[in-house]
Amino acid sequence: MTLRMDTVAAELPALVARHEQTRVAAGAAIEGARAALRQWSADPVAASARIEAALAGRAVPYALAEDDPAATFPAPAPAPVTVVGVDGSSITPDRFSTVRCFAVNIGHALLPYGVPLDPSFDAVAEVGLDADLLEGAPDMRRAPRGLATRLLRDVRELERGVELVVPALEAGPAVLLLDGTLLPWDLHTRQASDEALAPYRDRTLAALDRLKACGEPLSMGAYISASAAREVVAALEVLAPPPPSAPLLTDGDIFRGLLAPGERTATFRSRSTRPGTVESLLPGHDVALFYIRVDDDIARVELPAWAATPSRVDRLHATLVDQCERCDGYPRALQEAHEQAVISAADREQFERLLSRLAGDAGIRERRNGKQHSKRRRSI
Amino acid sequence: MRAFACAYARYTSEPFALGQMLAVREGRFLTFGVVTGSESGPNDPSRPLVPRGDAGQSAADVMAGNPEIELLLRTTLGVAICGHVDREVVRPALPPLPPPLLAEVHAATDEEKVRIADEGRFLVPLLANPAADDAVVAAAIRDVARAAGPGARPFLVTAGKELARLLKAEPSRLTSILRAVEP
Repeated sequence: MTLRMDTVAAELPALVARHEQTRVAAGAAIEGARAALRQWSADPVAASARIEAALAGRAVPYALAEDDPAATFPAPAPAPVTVVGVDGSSITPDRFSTVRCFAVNIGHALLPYGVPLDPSFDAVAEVGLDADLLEGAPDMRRAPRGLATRLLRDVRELERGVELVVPALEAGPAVLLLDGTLLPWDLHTRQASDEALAPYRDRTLAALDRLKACGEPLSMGAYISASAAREVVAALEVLAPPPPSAPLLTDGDIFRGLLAPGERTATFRSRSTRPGTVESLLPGHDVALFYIRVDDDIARVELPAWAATPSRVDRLHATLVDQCERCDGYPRALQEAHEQAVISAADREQFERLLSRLAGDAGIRERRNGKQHSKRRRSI
Repeated sequence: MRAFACAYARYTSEPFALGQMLAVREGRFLTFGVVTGSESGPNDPSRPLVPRGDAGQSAADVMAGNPEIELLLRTTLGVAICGHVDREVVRPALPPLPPPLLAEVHAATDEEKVRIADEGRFLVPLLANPAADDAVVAAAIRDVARAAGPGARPFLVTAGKELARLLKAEPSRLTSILRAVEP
C-alpha cells in the first residue's frame, strides 16, 4: 500500500467542512469584487487610470480592459476555418541515466471545418544529449532540473504551430490553439543567465513574428482551463480593497456568475511594471486575454495583443465554443494534439531501457546507482 | 496460419467486401484469402466512441463535420486463407508460413482470383475454416464468378460440384451455400 487510506480517509470530512467554510466566505468577497467591476464599468477610463497609478512600480501583474470590463459577448456562429492544435510533452534528462538524454515530443491536430484540406494528427519527436541543451550556457547546469527541456518544448510547440498554420492559411482562415500560457514563463527565470536563455527567447520571438505577419486570416489563442490567474482581481482590489481576512479570489470566481455558457468577457491587456517580465523580453507581443465560460469551466484565453482585433477575436471565440462542444468542454484540436504528444509512463520506461541497452552495446558500462537499482528491483 | 487480420489505418465506410479475395504479395509465398468479416471501432480501446451529431443527421454528415473521427477509428478485417503461390505454383492450401506481419494487403486481381479458385479447390481450406461460414463461402464463390467474366458459368458448375463433393456429409450446409450463391 502506498497511501494509508484508512488514516487519510478519517481526515477528509474535516477538510471538506473547512473548504465549505471558505467557499461561503468567498461568496461575500466575490460580491464585493463584482461591485468593484460595476464601478470600473461605469467609468472605465477613470477607473483604469486609478488602477494603473496604484499599481505602477509594484510587482503585481494586473489586467486592464480594452473597453467596458464588465461587457460579455455571446459566441458568434462558427464559419469555415482550419483549427490547428499543438501540444508538447518531454522527457527530462535523468541524472541516474548512463546517457543523459532528453526527448521532446510535439503533437498536433489539424482539423479543417468547411475548408478544403485533409485533417491530420501526428507528432514530431526530437532527442538529444543533456549537453546539447546546455551548449554555450554553462550556468544552465545550475538551473532547476528540466528547465532547459521545458524551454525547448515550449519553443518547439510554437514553431510547430507556425509550420502547420502558415501553409493552412492558403486554404482559408485558421485558428492556432496552444495549451497553457501564450508565452513561455521560463524565459524570465532568474535561475539562468540572459546568455543561456537568449537562444530560446530569439526562437520564440522569431516564431511570434512569423505568426504576426500572417495578418487578419489568423487567430490564435492559448487555452488555460480552470485558470487560477488573478490579474483582473488585482485591478479590482485597487478599486475596492478587500479586508485582510478575505479569501484569495481568482478571475474565474468573478466571471463565473456573469458569463452564460459560451459567452466571453471583454478583452483585457495583461500589465505588469515588474522588470524582466516575459512580455518585456518579447517586444511587440504583449499579451491580451479574455475569459470564456464552457459549461462550468471559466477558461482563460491568452492571445497576442496584435491578434486582438474584433474579427480575429470573434473567430477565436466562435472556434473555441464550437471546439469545446465537440469534445466535452475542451477544444477538440487540443485534446487530439495532447493524445499525439503524451509520453506515457510505459513510453518513458521503454525509452530509458532502449537507451540503456544501446549504451551497453556500445560498451558503456552502466554506473551502478544505489537508489535507482533498489527502486527497480524492489526485492523483499 | 489459417487466418490473418488486417486493418485500415483510418475508418473506411467501404472496406473490402465480404467474401472478396485478397492478396499479400510479400514474404516467401504469395498468400490469398477471403474476407470473413469486418469491424470498425476506436483505434485506442480506452477511448470509446460516443454518439455524435444531431437527430436526423446522416453518418456521412457527422463524419464530414467532425474530421477527426475518421483518423481515430480503424476498420479491421478478418481474412481466411484459401491458397498460396509457391515459386509460381498455385497451391489451393494453407501456406507453410503465415504472411509477414505489417505486410500490405491488396485486392486480388481477377486473374489471381481465377487462378487460385481453379476447379473450386480453394474451397477446401475455406470450408475447413470456422470463420468462413456459409455466407462467406457463397460470397467468395460469387466474387470469383464475377472475376471470371465469360467463364463464370463453367466456374460455378465446377465450384458446385466441388462443394457437393466436400459437403456430401452435410447436405443442409450444401443447400444453404448453393442458395446463397444464386444471384
